[in-house]
Formats: sequence, structure tokens, C-alpha cells
Amino acid sequence: MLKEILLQVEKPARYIGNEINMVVKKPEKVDIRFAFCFPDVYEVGMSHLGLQILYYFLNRRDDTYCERVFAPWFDMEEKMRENNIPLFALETGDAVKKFDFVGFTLQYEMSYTNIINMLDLAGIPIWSKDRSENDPIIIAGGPCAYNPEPLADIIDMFYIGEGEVSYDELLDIYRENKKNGGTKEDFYEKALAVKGIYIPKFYDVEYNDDGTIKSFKPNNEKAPSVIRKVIVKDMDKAFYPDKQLVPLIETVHDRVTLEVFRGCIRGCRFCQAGYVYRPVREKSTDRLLKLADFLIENSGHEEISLTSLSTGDYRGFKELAEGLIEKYADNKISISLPSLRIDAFSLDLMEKVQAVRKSGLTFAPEAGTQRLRDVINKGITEDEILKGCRLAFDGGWTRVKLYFMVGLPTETDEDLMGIVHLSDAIVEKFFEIPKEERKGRPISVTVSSACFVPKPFTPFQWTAQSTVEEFMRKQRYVKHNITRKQVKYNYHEPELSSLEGVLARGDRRSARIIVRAWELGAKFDSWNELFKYDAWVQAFKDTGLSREFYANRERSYDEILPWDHISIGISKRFFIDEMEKAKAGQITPNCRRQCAHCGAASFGGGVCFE
Amino acid sequence: MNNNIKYRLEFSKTDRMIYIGHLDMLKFLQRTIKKAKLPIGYSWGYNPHQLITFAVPLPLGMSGAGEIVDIQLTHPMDCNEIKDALNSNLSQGISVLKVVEMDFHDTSCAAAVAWADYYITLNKKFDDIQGTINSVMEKKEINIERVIKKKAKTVDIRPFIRYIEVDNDGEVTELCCNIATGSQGNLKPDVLLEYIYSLMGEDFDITKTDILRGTLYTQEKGVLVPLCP
Ligand code: SF4
Repeated sequence: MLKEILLQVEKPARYIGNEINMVVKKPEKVDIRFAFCFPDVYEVGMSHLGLQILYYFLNRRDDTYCERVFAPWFDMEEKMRENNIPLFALETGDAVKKFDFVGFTLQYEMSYTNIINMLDLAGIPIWSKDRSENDPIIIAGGPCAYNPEPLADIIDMFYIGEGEVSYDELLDIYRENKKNGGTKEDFYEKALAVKGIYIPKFYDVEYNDDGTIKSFKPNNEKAPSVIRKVIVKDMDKAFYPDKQLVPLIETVHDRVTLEVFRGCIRGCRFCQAGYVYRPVREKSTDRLLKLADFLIENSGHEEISLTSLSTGDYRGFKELAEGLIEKYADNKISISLPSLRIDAFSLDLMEKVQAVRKSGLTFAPEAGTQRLRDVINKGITEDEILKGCRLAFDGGWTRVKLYFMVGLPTETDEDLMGIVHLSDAIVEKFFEIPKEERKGRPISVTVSSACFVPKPFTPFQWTAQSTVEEFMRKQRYVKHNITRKQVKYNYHEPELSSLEGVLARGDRRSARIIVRAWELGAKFDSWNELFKYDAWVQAFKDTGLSREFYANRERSYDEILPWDHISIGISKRFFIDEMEKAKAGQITPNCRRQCAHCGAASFGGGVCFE
Repeated sequence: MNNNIKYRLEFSKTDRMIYIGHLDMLKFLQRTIKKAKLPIGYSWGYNPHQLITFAVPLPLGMSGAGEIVDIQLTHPMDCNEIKDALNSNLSQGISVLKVVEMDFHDTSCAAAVAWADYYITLNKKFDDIQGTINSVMEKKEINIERVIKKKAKTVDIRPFIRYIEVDNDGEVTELCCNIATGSQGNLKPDVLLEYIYSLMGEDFDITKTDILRGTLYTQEKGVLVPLCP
């Protein structure tokens, strides 16, 4: 039956596993079966570094078999439902419902409907309270887990922080409990002692009449009132796989990925990742070069990429980049560089690694004026951008991509005009080059603007998001004022960002919106062509919940925020100070220039102690 | 200038691996060769690629028991060593069955391949199928409409069929046939099956049919010789 179905769907290799370096174990020989679920299609999930790390991390335990599950694409889902085939794991093809753990990684809010859909396809009740002793334990982690509340009634337990730290302890407790005939309930109670574990049902929420939170309290004396994230202290000692799953079909990133460090020194005020992964913890260049060798040798890949939030900030960057070039230049292995601050060194580097074609240069000023860039603490100046462009134009580059956000706090039309002026200035910079030297090459500047989404654990967590109408007006304004034919303007449809805004700062009640939208057909929301905005609009109506309350309302500093019981190690005081500094247009230097005492030094490692 | 040594590999592609198409198979083999650290030769030019030639693509969904690929190595290696190095790196469902060293000037497998055996398991038992097959074999020509490069064209497929044998002993009908495969003339088994089904007044559904490609042959002076000796 499965064969017949697989021959009827697009890209059947999405559902068969069997990749190079897939882990094969005998399920009956292990104590714990863990289904790692990525709530998006195979090609997206397989390009995700976290999956690769956790997969081998869990599978290094003899008592555990971690298998993978992805969201089946529409055609496959239809066939599965038609033929009563439940959601299955790729390695063994076994139904997910049989597993001990079903773990979701929460990478973006707009994948939440896929989680609901996958639970449903697996035959597992959607609401945590409806599950029985025979259902798997649903656990979730990843960046969106820092505000777990919108999924708190759906996910049984959350893992707050980096997987390498507490999973061993958690699984040991589970195995012991299972062996001793303990129930799931027994396990949950015991798991309360594990650092980084948040189990929503041990907490009660009360609300004020205006809908804000009145109180949030544990209802079990063993439940910690604050759950603090767990992170790896020493990246050189941390587990990192020496191989990688190599897909049989083309995926989004078909290459070896080398994680250089975690965290980011910059402190851009809109960026959640920049705060939740603090402090910066680097791997040594030696270790990275060694890892690169293993990964290349064990995968057969022809490309290696460096990933981290702002890879150019790595202290050993030059050494690492040159080391990789030296090793691999003759070896038919290409090196893909992250976007770098443009200077003579980086241009030279780019020249070396991308001999084939001069792809575009990328800048992310995020805001159009210096004033607004100071507000968001984006440490890049117009002068730097223009100088970088000139250098690049002289070196033969002619395509420039600029990334901005609209709807940032304190933004005025003047800031929007700044986007136009900056792109014009870049074009003019190009025409400063004497005509003979331009050799008839045309310049193109592509401006993209995303819609700003205020995120928990950033200084902007209290601010109101622009409404869909406001976003549209702002985009029209920019579009209208761009007149040079060399400048192209791309913008995102604001509806998706607006919903992301609701879910990012949602509370326990928000789950009803997600489930209702799913009932009305929403899934794969982050896939533009599949996004069903109407379903979401209807979901707000049907649940009586207000999107303005979540997205477009400014909060006061003393309001209890839905994620206040989670700690990323940065004090609320710091975020309040940052918000006030933002309003005053004051910048905060990066961690290496001057420590701002955010609180993350309490983890006892990384940049705070360099 | 070119001191490469040419090897011919025979491999099988079964189980879960039937769900990857030809281009993915090529990439998979390239990576496995790298992983196995074979001293593979590369083409010249700006975008060098591994010197690998498949005899003929195996369509997604079909199994293969005797698929052929030629590779060029820059250093000589023992045939069994090549086989073991690859097999210890291949995913389940693909295995190298045989490796032979070729003369560098031997015709490439892609140019040489001319015929293939196919073992086909149909979706049910057709009691009278032998009669239909007999009538097919008695025909002097079989003209069918094919769309080639967006143009409808009539092709006579009769010369592309050497034989079709019926095995009706089991629960479902099985066929074994030898048909033209390669650049000189090519008949896809599903095209043939569709034709046979139409003669029986039945609908053909490839997703309900198991097709296994067996030995690939070249033709020397009218005689069929397996590509991998
Ligand atoms: S404590 Fe200082 S150095 Fe450490 S992350 Fe916070 S601001 Fe950066």
C-alpha cells in the first residue's frame, strides 16, 4: 500500500529516510523511542542544524533511538488520510503514536498549525489534558519555546535552552521510571527537578478583567517559580556530531554546516536570537578545522558553510576562513561565507571563494536613518555602507541587496524616506566611478523590507506592533518614493507578520486561535502560496480573542508578561533600561567593546569572561 | 595525458532506494564515491565533475538488479577493494555486485547498452494473457502514438521486443521480457504494458505494478552480451 502511495506523490524520497549517515538501530533493543518532529516539509527541516545535532546527540545513547518526522506535504497527507496511514517516522516507518517521546522543534511561530496537524495525523489528541497513559509525551524546544504559553495547553513539557545540557538527565529519569512501572504522572513530577524543564500543567494563570495576567503561580510545590534556560558553557567540550545526514534529494541547504559560535555580541534591540542565546560562546579555531575535516570526510558533501548569528564577529575568523580555503580549495569543495561586513579583507576573501560569479553584496541596515538605527542599536553607519559599496564596485560587484524593517518603534515617515535616500546614495556612489571603468556594467540595488514583529525577551517586548493597514501604508510610501530605475523594491505581505506578532507574544489562551485556524484549514502558513489568511481572521471571530490585544497594544513595564516565568538569564531591568535608551536614541556598545551587564555573565562562561 | 583507469560497476537498486530518481541517484553516487575516498577522476573545465557514466537511467519506482555505471579513477585499485569501499558507505537498498576493470578504449556503457531484461509483476492474475502476448508477438508492426518533444509521433515498437514470457503459476501474473534499451532504440516497459493492457481492455496503473530491471546487454554481431562481463 505504502509503495502505491509513494509512487503517486511528489518527491517520495521525503518519506523514506535511508540517507547517508542515517542511524539504524533495532527498536526492540532500546528503552526509549524518540520521534524528533520538524513541523515543516522535509527539505526545510533537513537543512536545520539543530536537528542534525540533537539527532546524533540522542542517538549516541544506546538506550535511545531517535528517529525523524517531517510534516507530510499536502499530496501525501491526502493519501495518508484516505488510506488511514498514521504519521510515521522515517527510520523505521513505525507510527509516531507508539513512541515514548514526540519532540517538536519550535523554529517559527507560523509552524504551529503544522504541529497541530501532525499530532492529528499521528492519532494523538491535540490537547494535553485529553492524552492518556498510552500516548507519547509531547515535548518541545527551540527558540519559540522561550514563550511557551501559546502552546502550553498542547505540549506536555517544554525544554528551555540547549539540548546538550539536560536531555541525558531527563531520559535517564524516564527510563528508570518506566522500568519501575511508574506512570507518566510520576515521570512529570520527577522531571520537575531537571533544569530547564517547564511543565505547564503545574502552573495556574489568573486574568484581570482587561485580559492581562493577574497571577501566574505553580500549583505543585516542586515546580520552580522561574525556569531558567540551560546552556552549554564550554563549546569546545560540547558534543558536536562528526557526521551529518546527507539527504537523497535536494534540500534548502545541501552542505556541511559548521557552527562557529553561539550567541551574538551585537545586541540589536529587535533581535530575539541575539538575546536568548547570550552569552557568546566560541569554539576554538583548531576544533573547528578538525570538525570540518570529519564532516567533509564523512558526508561526501561538496560545500561547507559557516553558520552563527554574526559569523564575522568570530575572533579567529581570518584564521578559520583562510584555513578552510587552504584545505579545500583544490579539493572540489566550495566554501559558502556568511554575509560579512564589507571591507578589504572580506572582499578579498569573497573573491577567493566565489571565483565563479560575483553574487550580490548584502547589507542589513534595518532602518533608513541613523536616528532609527540608533534606536534599534544596529551598529552600522551610512558611511560604512557607502564605503563598502565603493570598494565592492571597484572590485567588480554590481548587485547590492539591502534589508530593512518597517514598523520599528518610534519610526516616522522621515525614517521611511531614509530607505529611499540610502538606496539612491548607493546608486550615486556607483556613478562616481569614471564611465570607462564601469565597462557598461549596470548597477542594481534591491531593497527588501520586512514587517517588524516585537518579540519576547527583547527591549521591544512591550511595544505595539503596526497594524496590517499601517504596514501597507508604509510600504506604499516607500514604494511610491523610489523613483530610480536601478532600485527595485520588494516587500513582504504584512498579514503573516501580523499573525506572527499575535503568536509571538501570545498567552495560554492563544492556543484556541491556532487550533481553530487549523480546523478551518490553516497549515504550512509560512508558505506564501498556501497561507490562508481568512482562516485566521475567522479564528479570531470564532474564539472571541482579540488580535489587537496581543499584537497592537503597548504594555506597561509592570504588566505580568506571559513569559515572565521563563528566564534567559537577562534581567527585566536590563530590558527596561534598553527600551528607555532606545527611546532616547542612545546606543549600547557590543559585548566586546563594553559589557552592559545584562545578567548573562551568571552562566559563568563565554564572552563575559574573555 | 589522461592516465585514468576505467572500471565498470554493476549494482542493484531496490527497497527504499527505488524512490529516488536518476539525478538524485547520480548525486548520491558522487557523494558515496567521495566518502569512500576513491581516487575518482574529474573532467576538465571550469566546473569539473566526476567522471561517471550510467548506462541508462532507471526511472523512479523501478528496481534494478543489474544496473551499470562506468567510473574513471586516477590510480589503479583492486576491483574488490573498490567494491568493498563503496558497499561499506552505501545506504541500504543499493549495493555494488561486481566491479571489472575495462580497457580505456572500450565503448562506454551508455553507448553500448542495447537491450534489457525486465521482470514485471502485474496487479492481478490475467488468465488469458498468453493469448494476448501471442498476438503481440505475431504482429509485423505495432504503431503507437508517442509524444516526443511535444510533437505527436507514430513509432513502431515491434522491433524493440525480442520476447515476452508469461508466468501464470502464482497468484498474480508475472512477465519476463527482453526489450530495447538505450540510444539506438528504447522501449519503456510501462509503454509496452499500457499497450498490452489496452488489448485486454484493461486500465494500466504503474503504481500497482512492480517492475524490476534485470541484466543490461550490448549487442555484438547480432548476439546479446551482458554489459558487465
Ligand atoms: S554580561 Fe556583558 S558581556 Fe556578557 S552577554 Fe551580557 S552584556 Fe554581553
